Amino acid sequence: MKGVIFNLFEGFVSEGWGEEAYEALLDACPLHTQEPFVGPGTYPDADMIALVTKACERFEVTAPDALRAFGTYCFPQLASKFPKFVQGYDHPKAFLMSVHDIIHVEVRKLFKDAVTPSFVYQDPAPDRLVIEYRSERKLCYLMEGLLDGVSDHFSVAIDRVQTQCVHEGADTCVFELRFAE
Amino acid sequence: MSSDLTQRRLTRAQKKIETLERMIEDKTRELFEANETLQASNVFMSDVLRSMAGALVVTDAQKNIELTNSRLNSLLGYAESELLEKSVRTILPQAGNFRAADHDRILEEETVCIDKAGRKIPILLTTSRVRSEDVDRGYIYVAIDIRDRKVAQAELRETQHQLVVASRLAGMAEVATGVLHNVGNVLNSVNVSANIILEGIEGSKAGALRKLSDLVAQHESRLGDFFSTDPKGKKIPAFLKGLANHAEHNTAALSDETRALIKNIDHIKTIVASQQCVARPLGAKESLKLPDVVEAALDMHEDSLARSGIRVDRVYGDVPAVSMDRHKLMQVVINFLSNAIQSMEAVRGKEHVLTIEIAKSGSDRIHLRVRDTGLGIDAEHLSKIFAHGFTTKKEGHGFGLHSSANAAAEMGGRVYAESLGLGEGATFTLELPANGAQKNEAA
Repeated sequence: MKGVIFNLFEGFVSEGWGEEAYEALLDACPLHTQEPFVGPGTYPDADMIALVTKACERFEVTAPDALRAFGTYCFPQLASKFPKFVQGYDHPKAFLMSVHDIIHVEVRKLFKDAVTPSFVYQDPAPDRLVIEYRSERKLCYLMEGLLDGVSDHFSVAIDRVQTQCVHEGADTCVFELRFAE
Repeated sequence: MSSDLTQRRLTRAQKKIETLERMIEDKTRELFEANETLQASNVFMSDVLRSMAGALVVTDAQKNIELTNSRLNSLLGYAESELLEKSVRTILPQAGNFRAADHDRILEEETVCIDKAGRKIPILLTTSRVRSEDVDRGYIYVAIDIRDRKVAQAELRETQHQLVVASRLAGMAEVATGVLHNVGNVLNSVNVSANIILEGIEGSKAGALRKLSDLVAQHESRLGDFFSTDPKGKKIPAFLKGLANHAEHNTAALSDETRALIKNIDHIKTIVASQQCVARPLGAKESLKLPDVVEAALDMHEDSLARSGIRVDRVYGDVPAVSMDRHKLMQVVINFLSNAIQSMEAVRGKEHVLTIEIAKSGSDRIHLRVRDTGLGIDAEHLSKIFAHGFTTKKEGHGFGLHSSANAAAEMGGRVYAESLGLGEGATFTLELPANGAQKNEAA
């Protein structure tokens, strides 16, 4: 996982529970990575899982809730760091449909070792979008939070229903979205 | 915030900076290497552009020149700097225009470019778009100098024209040769007839009649005594009877030969007239009975056949009349008969037979075979005997059988030869389509 996500996690914890809480979290986790996380670096997924798991224990939140909240926190941060990817879109649907074919492609160009999830889209109606999400990391809860962040960013309410989930034995997660007028 | 925490975060920040420095160094090295690769690629692309067979012009979307290659510069006499930012129409006045729907199309056209001196140079121009994110970024023009090709095309057109003329002349020559050949065949018979008529006239006993007339005139005053008492006068009645018999016989022979002569002259007229028929795509067709055509041709060779003692066997089957060009058919039959007679005349001391067979071949073909007992044909000559100019005769030209083959083909048929070899005689066959046949009126 890219270092930028670890740094966002540090910001998320520090803003929510304080810098000391994040330092304590680092002390409590047996991480593979000994040096500080930097944005362009790539680090084991297991380190992120360890940090999130320990944070859930310490702050007494469930992992799904923690990941949703982290996702909601991440999107405006990412939009701020990489404005080119959101500029030019005035509706969340158009932006979401660009994620797989444009943003993930650019991410892989920027970071050769980046592993991005796969999105398959269905466009059944102008105000609807179905996204089939597939990732080895199974971060569909993070995806939910990111979708909330997208909704906030574009100030368009997104009613979402997850009809299929890898945590319930499915191969992929499916999100059916309906955009407010 | 405690000082321990501050120190700890400072230390981590310091380490982050060190890590980032390393990463920047690594990335700088990567960029340096990438830059070298890019420069090498640039050099390669420059070499490619310079080495292109075509003259290259790249424009922006407004068709203002952004790039040219050395081939274009040498073709038009411009330095690249003189063309940059100028409209492409400066050098390509008829540069192709794309329609909106022609995203992936490549235009190819023959047009002209204008060199620095204002001269028009014919080119083959290929135009394509530079598309980026569904927007026209510009245009690529590749021009091939086709001046040499134009010259070659003009030469080719001239050569083709000359070939057409030559072909026409050759065709006319072939027709003329064919006519001369056939006329020559008939002239042989004409010559024989003329000689016979001359011999008949010279042997007409007209001199004896004159002497008799003079003798009678000398005894005009006493003709009765002369016929009854004079020894010469007493022979006159018998002599007159002999003269009358001779004159009657001679007149009949001369009449026959004159008729033959007229018929042959008429055929010569027909052959000559047929030259004009050949010039037309199709000759006039008429209903013909093959035996009648063969008999007419045999009549023309009657004297040759008689002189050479050649027996003619006729094997005429029941075949329907055919709808053909009489003169084409006659040309083939006469040619077959002439060759057969000449071949048999060349073999002396042998009883010769000319066999003519007319029969049906299956349901859709009719064949006419002329079989002789003459020289025969060497196996190696059989395949080329119908080729133009091929002949085994000392005074032959190789036109007769060739024109027969052409005539047969024009009638929808074919000719072929068979022989067991030298000394074994030969058979020439004319095969005609029965679909060109008409119902036999006699049937």
